[in-house]
Amino acid sequence: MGLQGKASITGYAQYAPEKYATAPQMFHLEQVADLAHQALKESGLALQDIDGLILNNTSFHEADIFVPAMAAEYLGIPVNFAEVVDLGGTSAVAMVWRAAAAIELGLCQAVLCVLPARMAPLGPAEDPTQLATAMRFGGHSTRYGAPEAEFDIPYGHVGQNTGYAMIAQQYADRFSYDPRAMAKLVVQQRDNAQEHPQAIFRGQPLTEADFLASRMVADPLRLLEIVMPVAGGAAVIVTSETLARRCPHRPVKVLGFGERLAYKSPTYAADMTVTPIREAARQAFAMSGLQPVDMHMAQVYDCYTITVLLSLEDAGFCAKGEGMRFLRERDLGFRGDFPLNTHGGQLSFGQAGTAGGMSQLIEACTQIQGRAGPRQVPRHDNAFVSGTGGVMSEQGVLVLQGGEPA
Amino acid sequence: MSAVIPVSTPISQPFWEGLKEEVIRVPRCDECSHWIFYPRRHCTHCGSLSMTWREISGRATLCSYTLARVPTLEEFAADPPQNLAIVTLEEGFNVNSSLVDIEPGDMRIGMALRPVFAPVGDSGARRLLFTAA
Ligand SMILES: [Zn+2]
Repeated sequence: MGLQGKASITGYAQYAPEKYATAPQMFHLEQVADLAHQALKESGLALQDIDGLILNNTSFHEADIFVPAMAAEYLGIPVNFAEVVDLGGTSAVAMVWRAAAAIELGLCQAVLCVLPARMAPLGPAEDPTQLATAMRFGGHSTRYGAPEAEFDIPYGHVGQNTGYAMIAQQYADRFSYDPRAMAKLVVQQRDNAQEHPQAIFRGQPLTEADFLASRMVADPLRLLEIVMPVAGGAAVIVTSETLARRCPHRPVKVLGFGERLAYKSPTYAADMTVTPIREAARQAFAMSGLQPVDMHMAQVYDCYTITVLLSLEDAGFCAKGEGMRFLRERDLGFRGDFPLNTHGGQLSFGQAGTAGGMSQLIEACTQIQGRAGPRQVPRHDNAFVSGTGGVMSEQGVLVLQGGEPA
Repeated sequence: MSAVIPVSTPISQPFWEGLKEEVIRVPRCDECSHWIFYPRRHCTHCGSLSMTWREISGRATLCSYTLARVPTLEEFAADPPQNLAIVTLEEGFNVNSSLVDIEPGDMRIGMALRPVFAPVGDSGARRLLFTAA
């Protein structure tokens, strides 16, 4: 079952993460066109080669509906395959496998997957406080009949921090929660970020003492365990074997994928310390014919430290309950024995909305192509990439492998 | 304040009306005896559409909790630190809740809890909170 490894990522682009207050403001359609242009240059293709389009609709500025048609029209290209993905932090991973599947089915040759995440300029009649009101409930729906409007919000169960914190508390009770292991993860990812020119926390290394002094936000999670939202945006281009030959760089083959949605709120998980990535990773590895031990790097979605810990355990990099020890014992640096989030992870690179998950994907591609400069991982053929949306609600996995350069 | 006042639907109304009478009513599947929370049209275990509202004791244990050092909503800023809890009823299902009259240092996963039917302002609605049993 699954992919034959005939589709490759051949181009990518991302805006440097920036603080919202100082980042350029652009319409999302403009960002789509701009990111497409940059990614096409990388892939050696022209705009007219694009015949598939996948983007977000949930936070798309100019429209909620008919987003693909609007974007295709704006780009000026007809497409054979168009889709929106509404999977939060695993959207990037989800887009790539959908693109690869569409290409292997022969529907299209080159798919643009794009996630604009800079703010759009405010219209003359628009009120900036409206945005703040809309953000108050985060990813929680307040609509009549929405289960969370009825059974989450009245109890203050809103936003992401507390959901992840309650998962971490469960883990602490069942196994242990070792702040020093989490400190090591955070500090090593921050070290990795020092060698990425776009990382928002470049030039600001951390120590274990900094971590332990960081204030508690939602027990047991400290501020430095929580990702910082930034403005940004990213795109990748997935192509057929034929078009991949035009890429001046090493194509990055999509060998395997998995996706699993288990619940919206972890309250309703059968066991909140066992996450949906378990099934997603099992499928992705089986499809690829590779094992966790074959991976030369892991670019693991890291909205929180606990996300990384549970993802590593449930994807099979270590046994359940062994994650803290794994983090303490392995060297997570780009030259280490387990290169993890070699761009700094989103914790140190910045989280540009749903494009944040694309940073992990783009880092894997950059490393596989051998273009990571001073942070280049020595062995860089095989990569594990994960995405996580909601509160460990939905997760996706890609197993990627470098192909023969053209 | 409005968003934190629970608004019942025709499906969930017996649950919220029960809280006003200080009883907990939850639908149970007539086919497979599964407790269905939150209330919905079907049994999530067997798909049956046949269920009966039953009264339960409210005996429960603490599944997980956290202290939100930054309130999740301004409505919960009054008595810091705000706590959030996931509570497991003895029937085996979980509910979102919050703990009352327990010092943060005394909160323990697995501790025995009993229900508190807490009025939401003067809205007439009540929320299902918990305290130490
Ligand atoms: Zn049933």
